[in-house]
Amino acid sequence: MNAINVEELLERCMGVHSIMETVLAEFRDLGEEMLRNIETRLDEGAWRKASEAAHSLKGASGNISAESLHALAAKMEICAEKADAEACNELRQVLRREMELCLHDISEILNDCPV
Amino acid sequence: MKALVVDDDPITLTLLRDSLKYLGYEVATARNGREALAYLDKEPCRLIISDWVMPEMDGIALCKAIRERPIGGYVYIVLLTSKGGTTNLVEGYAAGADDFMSKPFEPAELNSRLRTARRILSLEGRDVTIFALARLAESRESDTGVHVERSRCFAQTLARDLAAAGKFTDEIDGEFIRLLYLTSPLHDIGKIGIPDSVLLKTDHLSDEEFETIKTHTTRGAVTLEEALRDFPEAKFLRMARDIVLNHHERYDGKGYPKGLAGEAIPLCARIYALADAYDALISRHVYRDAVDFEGARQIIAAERGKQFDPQIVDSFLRCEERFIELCKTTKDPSTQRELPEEA
Ligand SMILES: [Fe+2]
Repeated sequence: MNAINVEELLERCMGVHSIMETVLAEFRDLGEEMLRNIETRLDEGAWRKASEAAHSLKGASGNISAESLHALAAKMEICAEKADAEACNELRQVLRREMELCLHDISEILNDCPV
Repeated sequence: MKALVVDDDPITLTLLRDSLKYLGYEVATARNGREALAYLDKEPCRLIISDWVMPEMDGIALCKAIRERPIGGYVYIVLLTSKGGTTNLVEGYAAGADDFMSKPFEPAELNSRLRTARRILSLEGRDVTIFALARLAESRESDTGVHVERSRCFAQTLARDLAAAGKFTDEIDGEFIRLLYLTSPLHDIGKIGIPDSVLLKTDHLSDEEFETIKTHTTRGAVTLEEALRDFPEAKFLRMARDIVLNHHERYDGKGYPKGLAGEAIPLCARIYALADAYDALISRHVYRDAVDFEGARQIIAAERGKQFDPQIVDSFLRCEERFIELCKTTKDPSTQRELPEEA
């Protein structure tokens, strides 16, 4: 489980497993859509919207202690704000791969302790 | 106790909702400021934890909207800020936020913010009592109680404007603004000790009688000073004492009781002095008719650097429209205030 800092997340959830599971399940259901939202906005060249979408993902991933994803989303937020097409293009590949790792980790965590 | 959580990010919303429920709160949620306001129109809520950046209506606009609503009980607002972001806390305070919490939040931080919120909201129970007493003191002179309510709103408006304008930044923060609002109703509490024959006299006061009236500042301060000796850490009492004692001091040093001048007069009293004077100008008194808004503005402006701190007069001129709005909307508080629920 490298993509998510489970220890920190559980602490944020007051040590309550059911809260952690609810939050992770929510991210599992929404994460892909959040990422696609960023990609769509980038394709449209709607930089502001893309930056806002990245801001949302930054908040969500921070909450579940997906540390790398959080850092990448933060970078994306800034690059999109600056309309830096090249940097955004590079980032979106990395962001997608990191999202996949996260979702994989989440499903394993949830399988270990089914909701 | 009920809390309203406002965030456009569903994950944050879920996390805060479940954490707060676990801590024993009753929790409502909204996805932006507009939804939050719609909720507050239907349900009272004393504690709001809101995101800063949101679509439709952001946290700053939500704070402002809540603070501009007709006065009910105090609503405590915690704004969420992104870690490492360049959020301008001064902007938050000026909009009326009470506290800030970075997100992703740490449970220890959440707990301590909530503790502070509960402490302050529970103090408001005491404030409601004090407010009632202050109105009682005032009720000998006027039967509406509107002066106490309106002038505290004027003072709060000035303090927020000064914060937004970047003035007195070492003194004005969210707590200062809140305390000013809470304590200013006490300004004339010392009048309780003034006999009716002097206080209610409608024709000209003799010099001796005027000297008696002046003692309402020191009489009130003595009582608060005693309480302050027992609770030296109570900022509430300290500000109350400063306002009660100094609200008739003048910037040029010609006021009473001590004839303090300029910055020697505590800032809260300099702000309240203008609020109090403005309300007196636009209120109908037994001994003269109320002047109109234009006249009131001219009188206040003419006292720039004389009766009032020039920076506070400038602030008044910036937000005069809000003052006029408050005059039109402030209702008798006795019909609107309610006791806060206990945590
Ligand atoms: Fe007074």
